[in-house]
Amino acid sequence: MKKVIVFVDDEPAITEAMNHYFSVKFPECQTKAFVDPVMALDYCLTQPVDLLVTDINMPEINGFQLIKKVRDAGVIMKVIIVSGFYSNEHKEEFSSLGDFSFFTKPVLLKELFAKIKEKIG
Amino acid sequence: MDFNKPLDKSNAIWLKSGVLLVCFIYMFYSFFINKIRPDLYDAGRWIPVSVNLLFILLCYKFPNSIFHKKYPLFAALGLGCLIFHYAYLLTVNNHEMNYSASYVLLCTICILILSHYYQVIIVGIISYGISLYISHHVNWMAQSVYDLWVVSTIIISAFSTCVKINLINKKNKALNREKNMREKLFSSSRFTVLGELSSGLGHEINNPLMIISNYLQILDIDEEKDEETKKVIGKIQTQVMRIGNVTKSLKEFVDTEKSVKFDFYLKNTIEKSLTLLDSRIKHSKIKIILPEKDQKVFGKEPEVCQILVNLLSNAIDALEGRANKQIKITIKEDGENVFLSVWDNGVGIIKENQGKIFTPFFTTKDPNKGTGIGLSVSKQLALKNDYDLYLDEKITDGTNFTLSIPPKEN
Repeated sequence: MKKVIVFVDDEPAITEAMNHYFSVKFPECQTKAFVDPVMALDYCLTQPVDLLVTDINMPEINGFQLIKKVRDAGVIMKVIIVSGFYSNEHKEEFSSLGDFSFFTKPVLLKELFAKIKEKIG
Repeated sequence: MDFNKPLDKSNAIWLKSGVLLVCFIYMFYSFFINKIRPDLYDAGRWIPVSVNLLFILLCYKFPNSIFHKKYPLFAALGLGCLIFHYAYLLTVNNHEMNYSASYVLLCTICILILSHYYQVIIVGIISYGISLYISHHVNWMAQSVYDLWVVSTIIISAFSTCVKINLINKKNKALNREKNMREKLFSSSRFTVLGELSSGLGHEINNPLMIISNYLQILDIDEEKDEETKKVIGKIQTQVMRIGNVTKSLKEFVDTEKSVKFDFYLKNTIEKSLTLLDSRIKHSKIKIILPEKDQKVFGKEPEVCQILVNLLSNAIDALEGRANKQIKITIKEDGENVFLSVWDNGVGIIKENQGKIFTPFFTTKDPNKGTGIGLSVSKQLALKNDYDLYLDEKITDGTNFTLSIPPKEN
C-alpha cells in the first residue's frame, strides 16, 4: 500500500508545486494537497495518512491547531512543518507539538525530500 | 554669555564689526585729544586698540585656531582691556569732563556690543535717572553724576545682560534638547515600526519565494534539460535562498525580546550579521577578515547578532572616506570567557568622547545617519545577558570593541 503524504498550505501555488514535485520524485507515495486546513483536518481524521507537511500561518485553524487536533484524536502520523513563521514567541506551542521536523521557507525541496524519505521511506 | 561657544555667523560678524567700531571711535577720539590737549597724551592708549585689532586679525588669518573658535572670549578680553585703560586714564587725569563723557560713550557701546540688545539703553536711562536723583539729594557735583551714571550703567547693564543671556542660553539649550530628543525618538520609533513590519515579512516575502523556489526545482527535475539551463536554474535558486536568508536574519534580529538562551556557534552569528550588512560592505569596498576558529557559546543568539550588527554598522561608518578599509572580527577565549571583537582601521574615537560612547543619544555622526542609540542599546543588551561590551582604549590605529561572553552557568 502506498504511503500517504498530506500537504497543507493556504497558498495554492505552494501545495500545487510540492504535489507535482513529489509525485514525480517519489512515485511510491500518494500525495494529497490542501489549501483549506479544515478540509485537511477532516481528511487526516478520516483517512489513513502517514505524513503531514503543513504551514503554520493559515486562516481558520493554524498549523499548531491542526496538528494538535490530529494528535488529540489519537491519530498517529509524522509531522513536518514548513513555514516562514517561526518565532520564539511560539516556542511553547512548538514544544507542545511533540515530535516534528521544521523547515523555514523557502525550502530546498531536495532537502525536504530527504527528510520525508527519512521519516516514512 | 558662553564664551567657549563659537558664535553663529551673523552674530560673529556683528560682534567683530562692533569691536572694530569701538576701536575706531577710540582712535579717532585719541587723535583729537592729542590735537586739543597734547598735555594729556598717553602712548599707552594704543595698547588696547592694538590688542583688539590683533585678535580680529588673528581670527581672520587663522580660521581654525582658538582665536576664531573662541572669539567672544577674546572680544571680551580686548574690550575689557579698553575699559580698564580708560578707567586708568580717568583716574590719573582727575576725572576730567571730556574723559568722562567719552568714557560714557565707550562703555555704553561696549556693553551694547556684549549684550547685543536694546534693553541696555533702557537700563542706561534708568541708571542715569537713579544717579541724577541720588546726586540731587546728596548735592554732588555734575562731574560725579557722570561718573555715577557710568558706574551704575556698567553694573546694572552687566547684571541684566548676564541674567538675560543666561536665560536665553537655558531656553535655547532646553529647546535644542527637546528637539534632539524628539528627532531621536522619532528615529527609534521607526526602528520599532521596522521591527513590527519585519514580523510580517516572513510570511509576505518567504511565501512567494517558496513558490518561485518550488517551480525552479520542478524545472530542475526534468532530466532532459541541457547543462546550461540547469546551471541557470541553479543560479536563480541560489539567489532565492539568499533573499530567504536575509528575511530570516532580519526577523531574528528584531525578535530579540522574545528570544531564549541556547548554545550557538559564533561564526554562524557573524555570518548572519554580515548578511544584513552585505550591500553596505560591498558598496564601501571593505575587506572583512573573519576569525579562523569557531566557538560555541551559550546565550540569546539574536541579541548577540544585534550587538554585532551595531558594532559592524559603526565600523562601516567609521571607515567612510578612508583608504585600505578593513574590519577584523576575532574570537578569543581565556579558558573561561569568550571574547568577540570587532576592529576597524577607521577614524577611531577621540579621548574626550571615549567615556560618552555608551550614553544614550550620544553620537558624533551626522543627524541623518546616527541616532546615538546603537551602542547604548548594545551595552544594555550585553549587560542584560551578563555579558560585557567595552572599548579597547589602548588601541591607537582605529577602534576595537569587545563583547565578553561568560561561560554557560551550571
